Amino acid sequence: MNCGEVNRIVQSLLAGEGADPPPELVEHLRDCQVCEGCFATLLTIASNLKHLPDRKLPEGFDARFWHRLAQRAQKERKKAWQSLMFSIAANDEVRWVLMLLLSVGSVAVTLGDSVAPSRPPLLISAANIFVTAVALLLAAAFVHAGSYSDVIVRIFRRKTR
Amino acid sequence: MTDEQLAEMAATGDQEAFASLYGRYKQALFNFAWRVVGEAGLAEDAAQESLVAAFRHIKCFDPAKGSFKTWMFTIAHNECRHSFRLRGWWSYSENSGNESAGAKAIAPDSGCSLDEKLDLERALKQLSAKYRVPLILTRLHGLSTRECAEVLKISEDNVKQRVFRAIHRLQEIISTGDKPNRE
Repeated sequence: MNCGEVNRIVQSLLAGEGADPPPELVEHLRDCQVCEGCFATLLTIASNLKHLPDRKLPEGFDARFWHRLAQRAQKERKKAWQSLMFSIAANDEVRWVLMLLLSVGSVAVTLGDSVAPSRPPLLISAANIFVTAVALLLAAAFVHAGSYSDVIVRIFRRKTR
Repeated sequence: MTDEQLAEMAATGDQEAFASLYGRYKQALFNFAWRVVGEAGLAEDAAQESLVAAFRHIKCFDPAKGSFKTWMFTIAHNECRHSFRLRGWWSYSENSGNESAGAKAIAPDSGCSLDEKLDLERALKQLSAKYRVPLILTRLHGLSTRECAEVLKISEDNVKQRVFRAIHRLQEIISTGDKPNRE
């Protein structure tokens, strides 16, 4: 084994490849003063690194971790709901469909009241709940998009463009 | 049960499997982060953020792409880099030596003497992150050259070279009682 090979093997050993130095390497280090001077200490340091003690975990590490995880999960749920609202508000098609549903619902309620006043009150109540729910959803979508004024400004800009 | 099996179970929503992984990695990740960022508070943050990120993205773990350990240390390494960015490189280099190296360490087990360990720990802190991180991953956490190369996204030869230079530099620091360098 020559000094170049020793260099290559030592680099691999230092990088953690192979547990122990091969016998040829030990023999070479014993015979070659130059390599011995270069590599013997390095191998000792590399070996000593493995014995460095663990750093003790700070007190309350576990409790803080689980709390952090729970907080993050809560934040993500909120974010998911917000992004749903945002996607509704940001999507023209979805907004139009909601407006259409709102209009159809309103007409249905009005017709239900005027054309067939004898209709069971339960049906009229259901229609009212439907219209209210859609209106609230639409309002939430608009609110999330910024504010009512923002929406009006955007519509105004789009018209003036 | 292997880490990969536990990760698979955790991905299906098994919280006990995740708790087991947490138990296995919390100490290693804290040690890694502490030796990389050099401060207990930041290390705790980095280690915990890594574990939170692992929990959130456990479904993204693909055993075909590498071991769970590699995946976990990749996340931890990214978190440490994030800490570096928040604090700034120089403030890290200047403050990293302030804490006494072995003051709060778990009692030493075997191998070299306590003085040697303290010397080594101090010398380790004086290395730049470029050389310190591959050294910590391979020598202290037992990652192979290939795994370390995956974590750091560099070539295997580069890992070997950096580890070699790092140990060489440690030798110089220990023998001469060198001042911190800013390579």
